[in-house]
Amino acid sequence: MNSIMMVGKTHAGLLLLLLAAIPIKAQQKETESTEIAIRSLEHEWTVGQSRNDNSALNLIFDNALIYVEYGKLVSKGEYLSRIKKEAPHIVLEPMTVRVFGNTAIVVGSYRERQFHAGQRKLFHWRFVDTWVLKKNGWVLISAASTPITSNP
Amino acid sequence: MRKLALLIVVAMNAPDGLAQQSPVSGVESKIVALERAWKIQGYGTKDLRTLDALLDPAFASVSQRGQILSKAELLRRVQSRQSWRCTIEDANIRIHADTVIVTARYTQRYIQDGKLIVERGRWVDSWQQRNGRWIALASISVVPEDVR
Repeated sequence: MNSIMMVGKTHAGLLLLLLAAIPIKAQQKETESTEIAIRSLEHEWTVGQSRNDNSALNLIFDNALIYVEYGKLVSKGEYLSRIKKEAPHIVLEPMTVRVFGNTAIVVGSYRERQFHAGQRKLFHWRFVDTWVLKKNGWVLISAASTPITSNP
Repeated sequence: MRKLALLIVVAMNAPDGLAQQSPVSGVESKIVALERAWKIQGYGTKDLRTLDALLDPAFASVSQRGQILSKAELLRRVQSRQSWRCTIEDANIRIHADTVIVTARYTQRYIQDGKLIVERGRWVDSWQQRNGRWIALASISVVPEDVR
């Protein structure tokens, strides 16, 4: 009798463990799919920039976007009007995406080639981007980058 | 100890009304207080307990030289720097439901290898509200000048 009860308890315990694992697995899958979506948006942004595709960028950027480039705080409108004229060539490097529910933080780096005032210049930047999930999907709410220098 | 000057101007200028407007003032004043606790009290007095409570375990920081620091690395830096003082100006806060973005200009002074270092720039911080508490997720410090 005792051994039957023990087996029953063991099975019940295993079942509880399995049931507890289901939401954790589902959450891991959701986080992974969010990471993929955010990486894809980062790439869409790069492609949109290089093609002067402001309509694509308009969908990616929140209207209240905080954008800091070259040390200056610029609005979404100011950024889009620069992109329309300049179309910088950007090569993304590996990035880390951290998902916190409806917020995602991306930390990474990229290389930028620009023609400015008749000169070709190369830059190496580190960036932090913040994305949030709104009713029409993930949108960029802040982006900032700073040049990578050798001094720590 | 020299009294620190702190000037924070909260800009209520979220364009197009897309960033959440209400109840804005409570959240803004809370975030300003947390920024002070982090950058002025936390760094200035090496208050690692406060910093530990404010920063998410997965917090990532980027220095104005482009170096990535984890939470543990940032706390070690706070411990090692001498006389770290920070002033904040021109804070701009955007609220998106449970996520808040803060940008502000800063001047920080500290002693490194016996030398006084003064750095100016702009930082962008990302906060998230979780179970009624605001937690910092990431921070980047950006050099101020046009580097092009």
